[in-house]
Amino acid sequence: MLELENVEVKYLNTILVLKGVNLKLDKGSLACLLGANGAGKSTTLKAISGLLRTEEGAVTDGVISYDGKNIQNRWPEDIAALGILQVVEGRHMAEHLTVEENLRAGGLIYKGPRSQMGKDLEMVYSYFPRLKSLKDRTAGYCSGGEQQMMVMGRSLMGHPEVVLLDEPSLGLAPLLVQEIAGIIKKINKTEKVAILLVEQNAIMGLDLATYGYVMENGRIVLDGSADSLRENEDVKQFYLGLSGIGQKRSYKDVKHYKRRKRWLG
Amino acid sequence: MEDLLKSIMLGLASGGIYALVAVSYVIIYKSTRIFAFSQAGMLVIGAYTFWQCLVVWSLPIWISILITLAIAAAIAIIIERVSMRPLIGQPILAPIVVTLGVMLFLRGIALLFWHGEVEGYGEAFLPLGVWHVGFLSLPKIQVYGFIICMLVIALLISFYKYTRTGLGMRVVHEDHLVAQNLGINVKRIFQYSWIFSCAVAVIGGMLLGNIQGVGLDLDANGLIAIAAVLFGGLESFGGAVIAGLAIGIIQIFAIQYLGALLPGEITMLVPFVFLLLILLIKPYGLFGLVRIERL
Repeated sequence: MLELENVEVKYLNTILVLKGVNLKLDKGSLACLLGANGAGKSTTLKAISGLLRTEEGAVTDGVISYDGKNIQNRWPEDIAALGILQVVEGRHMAEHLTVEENLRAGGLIYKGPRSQMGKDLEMVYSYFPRLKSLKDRTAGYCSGGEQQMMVMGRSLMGHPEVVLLDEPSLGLAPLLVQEIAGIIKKINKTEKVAILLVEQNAIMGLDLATYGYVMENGRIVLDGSADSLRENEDVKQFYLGLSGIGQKRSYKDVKHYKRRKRWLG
Repeated sequence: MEDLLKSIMLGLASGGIYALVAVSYVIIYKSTRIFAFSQAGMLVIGAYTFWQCLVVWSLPIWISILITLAIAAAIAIIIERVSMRPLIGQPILAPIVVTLGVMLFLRGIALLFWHGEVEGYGEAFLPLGVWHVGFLSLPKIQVYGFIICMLVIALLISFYKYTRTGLGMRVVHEDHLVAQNLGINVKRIFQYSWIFSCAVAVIGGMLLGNIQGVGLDLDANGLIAIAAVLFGGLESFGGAVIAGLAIGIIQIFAIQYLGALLPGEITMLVPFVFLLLILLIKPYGLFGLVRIERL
């Protein structure tokens, strides 16, 4: 189980980005982390996966623990070895390698028998059939959706226990977003991988997750089961784009002032 | 016609070694983005160490080769640990200048141990003599040298292509962050790259020493190989090989046809003049990676 307690993150030891984040991810569960741009969602993921260290950031207070062990401020390769893999926003990959080589690279971290690699590739291809037909294509020339499938498949190759998914829907067509959402759900169910999903697309996030966190200004301001969040008036208005009655809002009766809320965090 | 073919053969033979040395630069550049001038120094160290084992201690050839490779690996680990790792994350110029310093240091060590005298392997290394193929007479050391170079390069490329570690190294070549994200230990890969590169460089040193004589001046070949690396594009093994061979041929042509017209060793400049011309036309070199950009 992954747990964050009062985590504070500073960049360059001066810029305070996370101001005490508490978060919990049970084994095999699917939680989502919502919030506006700059709220600190990606930083939270990077704090867990250790990528923070490569960006001159550090956890300056609080505890990140995984199965009872403290894991804050370790190098990303060490954290990956524990079975926590982040799928970074923006689909970073080895562009000049083929799709299959990228997938294989994801499996390098797995310490089990070598023969597992072939089976894992088949497993990934069964989740993402499209990748199979693209396997010899140069990764950099694939479309955005295909690349997203590739980086998600790549993380599965490493037999993770926790996957930190950063904005899988970024820049994808709505139909494709649906497809990816379905696959995320399926992976979570059948592979028993715990997933922490960061999303701007709050509707998708709350549909998938069983538990949700809302972040603002480096703090978790609201958390609860996905159902309760979906019914929450503030979440409805700020993140789901619904008015109080639950219908879509129209431009006709949009308010001339922006409703503000002070979150008691 | 006969002369032309002869020049091409000779050019290919010396070009093969340039290609090998060029590859040793590319190995390091691809994973660390550092241009390691120190590899020119490794040529000298390799040639002298091998001479020490083979001629002075008269050890069997295989053991001499193994000892030389082991020393190369040890030096690689020391260079990487002591002078490169503390500079990770610093401006790129800093480590590059340090490699220049390391090159002079290695040269200094060679001078200290072997007093800069020019030695030779005699008959102990590759067989002497010539083969006569039709009207061509091919010196055996050159032919063997060429074959060894190509074998080493082929071995290296298949290592990158077919092994797990090789795959990890190729991911590091592409993007350090992606590699770390996948749990690949980037610092260890840097170390491997230095070891491979130094091993390749000492093999180049042995072969050069066999042809040109074991001496401190071998590092000039390192400079010519730099022309090959830039010409081929810093990131491409294939480019380094082709450019190495091309520069070998061009150099022999220059000696053959221009040597009589120009005073002194001006023909040494020809590869670099050629390099300048190529870079004017193709700034990334012939086979530099085209960045994949999607709009």
